[in-house]
Amino acid sequence: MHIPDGFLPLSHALVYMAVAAFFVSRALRWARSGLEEAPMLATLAAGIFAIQALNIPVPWGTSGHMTGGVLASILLGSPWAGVLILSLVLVVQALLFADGGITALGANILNMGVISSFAGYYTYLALRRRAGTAVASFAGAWLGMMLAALATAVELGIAGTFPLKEGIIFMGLYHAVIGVVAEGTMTALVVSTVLRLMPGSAASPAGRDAA
Amino acid sequence: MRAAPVILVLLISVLAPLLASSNPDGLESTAEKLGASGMETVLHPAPLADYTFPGIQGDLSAVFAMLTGTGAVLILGFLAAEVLRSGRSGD
Repeated sequence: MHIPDGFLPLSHALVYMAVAAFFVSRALRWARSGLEEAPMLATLAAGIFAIQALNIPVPWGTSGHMTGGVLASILLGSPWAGVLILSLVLVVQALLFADGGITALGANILNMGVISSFAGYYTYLALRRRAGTAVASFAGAWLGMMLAALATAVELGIAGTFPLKEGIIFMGLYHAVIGVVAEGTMTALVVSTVLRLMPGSAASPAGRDAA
Repeated sequence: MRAAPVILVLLISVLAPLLASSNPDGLESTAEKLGASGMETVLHPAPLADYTFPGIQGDLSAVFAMLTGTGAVLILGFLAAEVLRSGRSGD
């Protein structure tokens, strides 16, 4: 759901950039005080970049890929990790690959970095004791993707690029499915695997945030 | 840096472009349905546009483009994290 250049008027794009810049600066502050491992952040960012290239076919002739903000947040124990990692991935995609617009970078960071990570991470925290980490990470990742897709539809609706109602319906419908087959399933799979291999990691109920 | 996760990431980079569906993604499909596809513009000459590596044809082009991108994210991520962490000791 990378918004390309041309879909947002420059004035709108600049507003989203200012909002994104606020969150990115907070994420940098988190990294300065809370980040434990540079190699883990770098490897996770590279992995999310790589998995974003894996478009999975879904019905109606469309496809979708995992975005990864919720996974990054769960594995590193903070939604700021998702903001930081998605910002890095989105900047590289926009500059090197023209995947997502340069002017749309703020909106894309806001949707897939900020909204997805925060909604998904706190859903995960709320559910993991009752439902277990696999179900909680699936639900968090699905909701994170849905809210990012709906935010994208609203931004493009305000811009006049999509009619608001139809945009919300189509973006919501496609990403409800992509959220199951890509974001939810893969996030739950990776979180469960990491917890089995590293039981004391930040993703576990005994991890950093729960302490 | 532990080797196993990095090898896994490189493996995904190689396999993803070979396995990926070429169907339009959710946003592109929505834009097609709602008649907005033509509004897309590209403002700058991206060196690896469309996930192709210049001068190489076919699947290998996508694999090289992906490995370049993955390497760039890995290096930038490591440098950024190191710089941010090193700022801490001076606080």
